[in-house]
Amino acid sequence: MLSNIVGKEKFQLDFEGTNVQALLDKLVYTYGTEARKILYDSKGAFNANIQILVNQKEWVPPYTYKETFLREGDTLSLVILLPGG
Amino acid sequence: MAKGFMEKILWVNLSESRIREEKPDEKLYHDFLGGYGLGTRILFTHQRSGVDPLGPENILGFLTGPVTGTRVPFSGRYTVVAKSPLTLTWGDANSGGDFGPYLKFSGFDAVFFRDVADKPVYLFINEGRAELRDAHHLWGKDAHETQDILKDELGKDVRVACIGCAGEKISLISAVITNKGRAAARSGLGAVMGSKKLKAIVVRGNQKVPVAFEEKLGEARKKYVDGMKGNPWYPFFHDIGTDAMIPDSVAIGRTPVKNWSGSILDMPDVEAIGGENLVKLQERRYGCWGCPMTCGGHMKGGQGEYKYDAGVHKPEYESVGALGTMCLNSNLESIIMANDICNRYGLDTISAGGTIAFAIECYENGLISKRDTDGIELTWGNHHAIVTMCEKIGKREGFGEVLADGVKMAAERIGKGAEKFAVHIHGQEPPMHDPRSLIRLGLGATYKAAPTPARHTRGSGEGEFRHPDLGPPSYDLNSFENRGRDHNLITRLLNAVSSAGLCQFGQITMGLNATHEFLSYVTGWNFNFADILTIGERIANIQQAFNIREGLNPIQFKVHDRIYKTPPPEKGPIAGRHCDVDLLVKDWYTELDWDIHTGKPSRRKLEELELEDVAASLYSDPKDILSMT
Repeated sequence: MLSNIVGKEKFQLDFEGTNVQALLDKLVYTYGTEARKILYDSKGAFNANIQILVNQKEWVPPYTYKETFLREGDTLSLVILLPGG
Repeated sequence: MAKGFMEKILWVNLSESRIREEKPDEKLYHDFLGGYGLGTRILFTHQRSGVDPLGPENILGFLTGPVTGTRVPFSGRYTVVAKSPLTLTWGDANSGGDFGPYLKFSGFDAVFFRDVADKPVYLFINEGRAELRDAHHLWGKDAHETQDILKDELGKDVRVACIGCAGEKISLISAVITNKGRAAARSGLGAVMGSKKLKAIVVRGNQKVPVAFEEKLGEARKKYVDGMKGNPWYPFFHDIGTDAMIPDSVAIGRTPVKNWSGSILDMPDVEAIGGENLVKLQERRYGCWGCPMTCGGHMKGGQGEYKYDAGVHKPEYESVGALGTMCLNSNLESIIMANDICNRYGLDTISAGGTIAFAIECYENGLISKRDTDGIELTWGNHHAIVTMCEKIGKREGFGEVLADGVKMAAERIGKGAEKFAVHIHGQEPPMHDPRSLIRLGLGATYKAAPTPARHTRGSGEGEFRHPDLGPPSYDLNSFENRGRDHNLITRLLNAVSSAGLCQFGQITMGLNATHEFLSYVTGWNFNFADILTIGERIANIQQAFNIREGLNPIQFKVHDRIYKTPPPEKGPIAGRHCDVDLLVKDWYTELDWDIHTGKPSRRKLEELELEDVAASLYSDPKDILSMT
């Protein structure tokens, strides 16, 4: 899990950029290959099982990461959704 | 003969109190495995079309799979089958607990019931010997009491599958209950059991399930259980349960809110019913037989205004959704209470919650009033009302009589246009997964056009079961084309998983190769992935044929607009989103080689799957033969 690589479940990240994709790129840059393996599959597609929420309420559809802009202080949650039962 | 099977099924004629054993042909086991696969084959053969699902001719079956009761992880499942009185389609309901393994330990792979008893009875299978016994003293008892009485009478080592009052009173949303809280709930099969005056099945046994390659099975078990712990889902299932992340699920629009009309905007306090809060009220974890993940739980006794007993089962995701988000209910203890009431009376929590949410919306819109609802104010979030109504539904008491058969019938009884609030697909209330939310697009087709309508456990075609050969899924949520191939793969796989006796959560956490590998080690048959997909495809086809033979056309099943959002919602996480379910079904049926207008499997496909008798049954009309030449 990403939290195992980062070492904690919640953390602050400074990055240059304005959108969700830039933040994901920063995660991979900072935490390397292991983070890439979790976030992306071998063909470079984002992991379909990970959902991204901004400020716990706004869901970011996967193909809109470049168009979803973030503001200072925003919280981004990367969650794996269980299939329920 | 292959291993994994007890090589015996039991036939019980309830009107004549006649019991006989049958040894199925090995090919039957090979081609259909067990569970609803074997169940469909047997019912298609032994039952004519057009039977009254609550009448004597509807066969009721309880089946295990070849891995049930072995050292295969997640191998505790069993399935109940019959023609559904709720949807009039093929009906099945899958459940965990430990009844399935003990049915096999008692000597049988399955037991089938015909006809109707003159008076309430239960079946007792004791180390291979079966007898019908008087259940007069059990009739009227809830499922918990029934289990307790039978264990006192027969011994603590017996296992019990029973109905509560809801099944006795032929509620079309009633369930079969084991372990005081594992429910075979969908399709209304508790009502079939009640219609036969069959209160319970009790089993005792110590027979060992034969396994072909014990050592390889042990090695595979270690490999998969160790490997599973690295799966990202494992800690959530293990530490919290299926209710983990319900707030996030609501946030992305997967979990329906407010009778499928709302969103997270209507339930800003949804965190209150999240899994992390639920697990704080848990006394200890619970796992079904053979489960290394133990996603279930037993709760501490209720200390607040809801005084449920210590040890009641933790509500699952579906129950928290149905009794929580669907009703805008953020009182967690009321959900635990309502869930236990449903377990006691033997009710499908998805249907119960969905029906109560429907009733709340009717009340809000003035279609019913306190005069109709026994003085109860059925308002959003009124948890007292929700708990009370669960009990009334279970007893068919007062306004509960109106609601006891699900939303479709409740709407017919209320009239005044109530059907616009009755969210169902051909009578079945849908589970807590919105087909328009992310990675669930195939679910729309499954809900409408799988042999059991409104069933999420038949697969969504996306996400968690990606096969590496198929490439990444399309993320474009406005694209509904070319999803049939994925969808076909996943539905075939899940048919095989369920019929094998495996838990689907086991499949998710162990990976795509687990099912065929374990099946091979247990049975001795050398299955590969393609083989189990073929079995799954065969099962899908015979189930569809069952429905076609009943005169049903799933293409014409009515689906409530809210599930596919016409018009789409204006706000919330799935604002503007719709689901072109007709295109999804067309794509999927094309992959299946089923007629896109009638839903009928092609003769070619049926014969390819060695279902010649099924083909002959469906294509016996001379016009059909002429049209094929």
